[in-house]
Amino acid sequence: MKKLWKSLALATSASALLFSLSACGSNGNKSSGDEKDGKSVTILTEDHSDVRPKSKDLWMWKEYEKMSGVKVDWTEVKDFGEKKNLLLSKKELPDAFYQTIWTNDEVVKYGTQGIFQPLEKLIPKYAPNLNKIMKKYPDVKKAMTTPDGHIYSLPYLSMDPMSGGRTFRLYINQKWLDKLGLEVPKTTEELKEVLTQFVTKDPNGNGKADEQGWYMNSGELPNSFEKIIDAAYGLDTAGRTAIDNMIYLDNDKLQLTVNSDKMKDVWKYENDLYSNKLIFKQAFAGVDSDKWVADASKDVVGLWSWVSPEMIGEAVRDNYTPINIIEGPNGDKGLVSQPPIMGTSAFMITKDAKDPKELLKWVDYFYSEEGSEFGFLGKEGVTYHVVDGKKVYVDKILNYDKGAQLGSYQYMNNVYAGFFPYLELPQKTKEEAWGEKPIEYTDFTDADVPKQLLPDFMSTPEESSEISTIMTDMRNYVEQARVKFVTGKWNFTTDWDNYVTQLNKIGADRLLKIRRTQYARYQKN
Amino acid sequence: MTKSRWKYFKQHKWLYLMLAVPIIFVLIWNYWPMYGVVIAFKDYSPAFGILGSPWVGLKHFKRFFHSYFFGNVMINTLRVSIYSLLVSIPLPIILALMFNEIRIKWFKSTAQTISYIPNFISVVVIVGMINFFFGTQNGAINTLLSAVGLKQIDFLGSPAWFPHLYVWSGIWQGVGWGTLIYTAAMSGIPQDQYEAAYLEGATRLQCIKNITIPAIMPTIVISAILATGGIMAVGFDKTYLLQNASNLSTSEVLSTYTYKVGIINGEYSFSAAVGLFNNIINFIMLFVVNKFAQKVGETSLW
Repeated sequence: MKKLWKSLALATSASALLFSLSACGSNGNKSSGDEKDGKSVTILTEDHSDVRPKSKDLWMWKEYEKMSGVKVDWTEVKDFGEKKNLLLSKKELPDAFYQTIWTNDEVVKYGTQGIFQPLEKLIPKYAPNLNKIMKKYPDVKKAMTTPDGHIYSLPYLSMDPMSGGRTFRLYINQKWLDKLGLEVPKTTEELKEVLTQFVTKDPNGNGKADEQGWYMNSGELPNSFEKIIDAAYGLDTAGRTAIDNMIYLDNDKLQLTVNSDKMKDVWKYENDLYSNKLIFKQAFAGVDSDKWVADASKDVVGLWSWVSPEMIGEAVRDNYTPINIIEGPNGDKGLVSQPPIMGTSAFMITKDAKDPKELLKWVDYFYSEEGSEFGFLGKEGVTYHVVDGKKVYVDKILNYDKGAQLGSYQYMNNVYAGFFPYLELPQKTKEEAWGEKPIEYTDFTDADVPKQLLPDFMSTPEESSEISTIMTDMRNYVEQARVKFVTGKWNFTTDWDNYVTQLNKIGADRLLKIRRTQYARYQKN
Repeated sequence: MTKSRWKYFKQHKWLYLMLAVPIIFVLIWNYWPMYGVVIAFKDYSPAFGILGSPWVGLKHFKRFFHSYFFGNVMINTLRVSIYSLLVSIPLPIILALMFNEIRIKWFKSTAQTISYIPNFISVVVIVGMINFFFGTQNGAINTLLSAVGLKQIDFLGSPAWFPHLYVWSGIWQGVGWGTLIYTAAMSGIPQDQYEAAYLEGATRLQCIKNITIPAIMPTIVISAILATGGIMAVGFDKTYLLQNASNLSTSEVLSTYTYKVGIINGEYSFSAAVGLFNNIINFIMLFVVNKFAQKVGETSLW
């Protein structure tokens, strides 16, 4: 009998976990902030002490304590993503969450439940720098405002589309192009032609037909590559985040991407590449990123796609030329960018904060130009020098054995791993700081940035519970369908209609309706 | 009457005290947390706590049953687990019988030890090995296939192959370990039974059929009953790691689906509802199979 009950007890394992963790949590040693000078706050952030000093020992935070006169008592948590919801069941919360990831749904949910404090009234008075940005770029305010008109969280902002990992681009093997006497392709047609020559003419010169066209680890294709092709077929009109949310703007009217004829054209193009062996055969299964990097070092990768070149490995990264724009057969093109507001949950003030104004003032500095430079570059003479008018990190950072980026992380916080409440510097400034020659992109103009870059919309709790089921099922189904269409198991003339019917069964109409409501609300914010 | 019982209790008070320790343990760790299962019927939010969150009745169950993938996910789960049961119950028995018939002692113990070892390899490594052997591009098996002029097979990306990969890699890993319980049962069979049979002129196969198998039958029945009690529990780790966009139509099982909907979106109530549903099915299966075993044979769990 005992065995049986034990198996029933497994049913509750999730809740048991909840229980035991929260029980442990409440005896955790949390200092309630000694308020001798009234300027002491507790802030919780993710634990990065595996790659840099603890927050309380980090140069930047010690320096900022002197500058601001506010003493921060840092709590650091490992594996924050798994623990965040449990942390909230504690009796007393830290005053604020710094650089932690929450979905918009969570922000709205916990905001309306009173865990996070509404900040929209305090921002104009106590966060002048952020307020200035919000006035100048209304999109920022729109993206942060929840359906009930509140702002519960502060953003991570990157105004330069080339900075902060906002833009996906193609990386093409320049060595091979040179060898075959080819130009960098500008259209989908030229791209196909170049890839065909890559895989047939042995550009790596080893006598084996081991050259691949587009090749990356399995599962990456829909993430970066397909979005670039989306742009060539007119699905990038609202930017990269919108594509993630399965929406785009068709003449200013919001539509779903996944059941549109443009999606069909994108998959037809991918199917064309795949059946001509220009997309790696195992694009959908069986190759992890380690194997991809190992293969790449043998010079077999013709084309790949990501926001920055370092992922493919030091040995070959310089062989690749970035392509930001690929034009489609109907002249559609665009930069595959996220909106400037990249993270909406960079800083939240909780119900237990006694002095939210002080916290806002404290964090607002990093939305000023000066604070933004301080967060990334530090202080002149300490962490950077000015050389020929350029701000370059000091030698102890540049010569750090794991590279300049991690080197700067030993001093500053806003340089690595995440979305900080902060205004990101332009990519050029950052590359100069690392002592690199800035990459000049010449293949796009400002006109190529989609006029509207839509963020993740804020949902009401009712919307989010409906959307999350539809989106999960839809993602699942689209993922399966994409493989079948691209690899040729399904036929576009006979199977497309059934595909669209199934999407409707899952709730495509309902999803579109909710998205349109959200879009209308977003525009009004 | 009560007096004599009290006396009896007092006489054995130390034994009862010792018994109290596991009982308290089970109460604290298995029964007390069970109240948390109520979140399956609530909209759980950490802000309100387990008891404070609002009741929503069967909302999460309805949502699960009405989900587009419900049928698909159930069929996938049952396909993999029934297939796995059909193979993983008899194979360890056969292997144990084979071990039992080995007469050379050192060979027997070496073979047994080697057969246990895969059990200690972590799932992640197993999946790495599966990728290594079954990959399309440089996979060992496909390289062999094309070397002898056969067509390559996309093992990892094909929905048809997923159940086989899952089940047989499980067998490879667990069959040796599974023999342990039977080997133990066999070691309890008195040797004189074999000697007597031998003197009567019984062959080896007759010995197995008439002595060994009847002797380990209770063990077989019990472990089969226990195995069917886990019919809805297809291991999350291996499935999730073997899963990819191309084999999703057979590799999406209950545990991975719940993970995607429930845990990633932080919907603990939904996950708890699915978990509860799973365990009710498992419990019913256990009950039914046990009743069946009771009717047919003499062995059963209770």
